[in-house]
Amino acid sequence: MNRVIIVPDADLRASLAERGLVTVDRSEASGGLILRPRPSQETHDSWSAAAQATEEVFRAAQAFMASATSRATPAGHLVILIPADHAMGDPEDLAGSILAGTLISLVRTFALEFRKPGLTANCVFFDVSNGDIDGLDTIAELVSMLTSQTQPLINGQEIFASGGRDSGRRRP
Amino acid sequence: MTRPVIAIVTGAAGAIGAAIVERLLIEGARVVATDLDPGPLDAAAAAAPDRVAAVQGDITDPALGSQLVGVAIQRFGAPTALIGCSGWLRDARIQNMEPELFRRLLDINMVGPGRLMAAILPALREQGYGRIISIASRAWLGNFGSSGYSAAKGGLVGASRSLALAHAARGITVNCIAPGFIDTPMARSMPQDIVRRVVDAIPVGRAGTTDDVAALVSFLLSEASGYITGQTILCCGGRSISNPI
Repeated sequence: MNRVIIVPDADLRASLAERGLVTVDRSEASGGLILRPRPSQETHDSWSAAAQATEEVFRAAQAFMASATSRATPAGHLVILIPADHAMGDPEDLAGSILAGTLISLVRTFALEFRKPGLTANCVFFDVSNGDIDGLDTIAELVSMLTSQTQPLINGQEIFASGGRDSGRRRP
Repeated sequence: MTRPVIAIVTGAAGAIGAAIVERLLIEGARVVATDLDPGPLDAAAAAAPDRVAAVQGDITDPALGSQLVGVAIQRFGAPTALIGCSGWLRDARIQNMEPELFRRLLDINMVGPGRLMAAILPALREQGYGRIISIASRAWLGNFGSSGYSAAKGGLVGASRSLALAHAARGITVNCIAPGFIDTPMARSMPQDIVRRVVDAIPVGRAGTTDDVAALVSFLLSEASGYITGQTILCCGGRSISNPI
């Protein structure tokens, strides 16, 4: 696989590269932007921490989409990775839950605004195990598919990669 | 016996906020009403001075929450409810949205209202009872041109799920109402052809009214709603399940 995607999160980038499922780079000509945002650590106020992280995602995604649409053949895929517990509302993590809420809505709007040039934006929800993404092989395969240049139809979606643990619960 | 309602209402001078305050007063509640523009609030306070306290306040002021709770305690007793109606909308397509404007939309529509929730929660926990209702928006589902506003309302939805679970066993419910197109002065200022297209896309065939929202708030404030928490209830005439425009 030689598709180029940007993964600013160092831990995630290393994990994905280790599995050899995607090639990761910071190239401007990237076809995908994969983000795994976390609430800012600069404030103890959950609301500000989530707002700060959301703004950072917006800035990164806006720049990426501008680059993607400026090409002769617009191409680009945004994937946001979010802990499934936060997406469903985590009583133990208010900041994470707020951030999940902002990102889900943001991705939906990105999907609406950029679908005409053929760009996509999706959320992937994952389980956490020992502080890390659980089932990273599956996540990497999923991200690989979502950032494929031949996939313009899966857009604005929230995809649970949590073994069905979300089943039977009302989704966000 | 019905539990007395002592409610803090933000954005109380706006069309939806004013309708909620009016409804609460009819139902016998005591209200601390706040808004950036105090003018309309003063009139409400003058009409019912023993049941309305008007407070001029900026939702982005970190001290506003403790101020409002203090006024409620001083005038009426410990607050039992928070109804967050404040909101500020500026649309721009993502590629034209200045990040500073995006952040301001988050601060006004999410961070400020969230801090008010944090400010009132100790009083609700102490009583073992309370209602928090955030007026979100159908835009939380994603809305063309409204990335900042939509994200902020999504943040309220996410927070409500977290807070609802954290406080469910303490008699405190936390819910969102997501209005669709509501007939307000702001909505009426839109170009008429756009208003017509929007209304035509609403399955019930009309714009919503501020009373539609106020009625739902009234129910969620009641003790009868105690089994409903962590929900985002769309009040949009069915538009959320119909085809987009």
